Amino acid sequence: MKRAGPQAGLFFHLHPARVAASSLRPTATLGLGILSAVLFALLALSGTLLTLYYLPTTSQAYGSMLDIQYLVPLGGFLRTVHRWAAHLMVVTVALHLLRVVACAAYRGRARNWFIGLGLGASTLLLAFTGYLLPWDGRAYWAVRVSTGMLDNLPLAGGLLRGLLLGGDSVGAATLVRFYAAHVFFLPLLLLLLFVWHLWRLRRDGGLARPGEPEQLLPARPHLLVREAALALAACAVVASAAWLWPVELGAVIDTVRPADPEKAPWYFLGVQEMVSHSTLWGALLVPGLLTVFLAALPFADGAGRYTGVWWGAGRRRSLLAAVALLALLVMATCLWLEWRQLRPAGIHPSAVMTILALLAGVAGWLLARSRRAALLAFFVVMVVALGGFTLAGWWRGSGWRLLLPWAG
Amino acid sequence: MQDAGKNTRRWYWLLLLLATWLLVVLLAVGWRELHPQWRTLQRRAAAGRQDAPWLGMIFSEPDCSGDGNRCRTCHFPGQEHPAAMRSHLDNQSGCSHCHGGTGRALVIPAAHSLPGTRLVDPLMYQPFVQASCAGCHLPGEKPGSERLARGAMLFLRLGCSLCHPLGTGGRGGFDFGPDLSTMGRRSTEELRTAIIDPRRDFAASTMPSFATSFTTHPEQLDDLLVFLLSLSLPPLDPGGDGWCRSRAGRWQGLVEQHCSACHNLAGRRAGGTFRHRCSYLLERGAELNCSRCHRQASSADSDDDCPLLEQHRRNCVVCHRQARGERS
Repeated sequence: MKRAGPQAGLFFHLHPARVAASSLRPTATLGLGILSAVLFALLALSGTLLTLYYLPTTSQAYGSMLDIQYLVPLGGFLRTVHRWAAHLMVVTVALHLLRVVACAAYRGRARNWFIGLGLGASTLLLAFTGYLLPWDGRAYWAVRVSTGMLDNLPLAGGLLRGLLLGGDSVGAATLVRFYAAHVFFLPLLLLLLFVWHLWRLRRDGGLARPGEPEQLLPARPHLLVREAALALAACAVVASAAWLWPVELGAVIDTVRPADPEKAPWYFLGVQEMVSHSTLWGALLVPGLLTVFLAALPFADGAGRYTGVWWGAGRRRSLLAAVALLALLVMATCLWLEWRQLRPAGIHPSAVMTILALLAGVAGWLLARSRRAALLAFFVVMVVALGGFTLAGWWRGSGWRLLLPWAG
Repeated sequence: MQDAGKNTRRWYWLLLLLATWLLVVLLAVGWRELHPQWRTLQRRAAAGRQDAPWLGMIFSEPDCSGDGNRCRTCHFPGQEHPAAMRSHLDNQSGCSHCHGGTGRALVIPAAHSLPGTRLVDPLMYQPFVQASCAGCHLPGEKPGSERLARGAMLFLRLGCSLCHPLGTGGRGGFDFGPDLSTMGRRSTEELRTAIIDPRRDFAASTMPSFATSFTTHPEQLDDLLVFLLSLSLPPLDPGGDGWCRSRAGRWQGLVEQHCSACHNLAGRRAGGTFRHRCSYLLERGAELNCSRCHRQASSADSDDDCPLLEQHRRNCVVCHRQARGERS
């Protein structure tokens, strides 16, 4: 059999010629990177079609959305596909980050790690700028709530908010700015970063895996058939969701009275929930700590064994499972106290979970004598915390009371 | 190598399965797209008719507030209005500026802003649709707007305009309440709550509860809501032509002459007896320092006319200086 060499054509040239057999297993990466890329392609396609009808002025935006929804052939379906694919892409990108951290695939790949962080930030910004475009009540207030939280940042907070909004409040300038970013600048940035990301992956020798020599298989057909299956799966899931659960437009914009309560988009709900307890912890300390953690990760844990293996050495899994369980219990207790309105005034759940995360990190270092274990323990607790806070934000009802869906 | 080869073959089967799934979903989407609700409704209406030129067409027209209306795609001309209202159809001015709803929508839940959708429009239903009459007619001037007229009289009788004056140009009076014409369209639940339990949605509200005013005749609360909804009608687009423009001018005049809420009898005479219930004012007497000018006040429980009325010998203009175009 002829050894696969440099490939002809751009699409195949971007792919590696040969792939390790272990990288092809579904459990190696869960296909999250490919899924994110496919969802982006779907979003680009549906988004391009939507730009043919959408009008980004405050007087015409809502009407043009109504026209897309009800008049344009397949307009409602396209719009729903676009929205579902957007939400799904935020999820797959976040899970991709979790997978990379869990497998320590950042080791020796600091540049690609930062490119990936840039891709993640671009995805979130794309989702956020797109959220405003329908210009209905839900969009307006979600952006108003989210940008309001920016004021809590010291020094640059007000400036950043003014830059985003194009003024003091969400208005016509904001809509134009968000539209330009959403339709042109951010997709361009994402595309460039994505190509760089793939190229760095090739330069770094493919997907991260333990250093044992193993057999390499030709990418055609082994990698490509898996990619095609993931692409079709993503399309099928998004199309089914769009068919089953069409998205509705919200009520006409009302800048005077918000619904009660008004919430940020779900990917910022965790921050909104934390800020509702304490602006210091929610807006500054927790996001700051997470940013520092993510930035320092490839340097703090630059090399070691078990790279590319989920969670590292076998023994460590029980430690991490115990940490996760403890985090879940503490989070559930915080939520229960919140529901019963028994939480003591000075104790903030975000502070509790952050301190628990730091303690878990210390415990991981002491028990396992490994930096990766410490970092992973910290990360697991923070992920549980963010998930719990997002859920709490989702369950908040009128007057910002926590209302459990089964108990009220 | 053989393991990978076997695995890859399995992936080919998965590929086929997924492609089939996607195809089925896309076919379902296409089917639904080819059979929209409005086409089904049109076909049903056309059954048995010789002549149905509108079959298969989307009917679009602008309404007087400049928004698009596609209501007549399903609501065929002449079918829906009672005989007395048929003249409104000749205007070709759209439907949604009287009936509310989402004029551009082509499915029933969204077009009618049904409960369960995110859209809210009480004007879709009786009696609240009577609020739209105030866009062009004085309350009670035309048959079919009786509840609007009763609501307007209630608004004065209960003293609402003391804190929520009807004049344009912002707040007046004692500057307690927001200008109701700028609040936008509210749902009837929200309006009911605002009258019966004002502090429920807005804890800092200083508005008293008017729950006791409606215990004997609860249907009067709906009358008041009809009037309140009439304050938030969309402005007519003066750039429209013909019928819309002539009505736009009339609407402007009505906004400035809020007196017409009560002065709606022939010759602009006021109808009914208006009793200025001052219980709210009396409760806040200390704060308002009424005793500086009014030595004698009736008790808060009495149903007597407000002492101000007696003092000024029913010379309304003393309080209602807005009638002359000045701020009070």
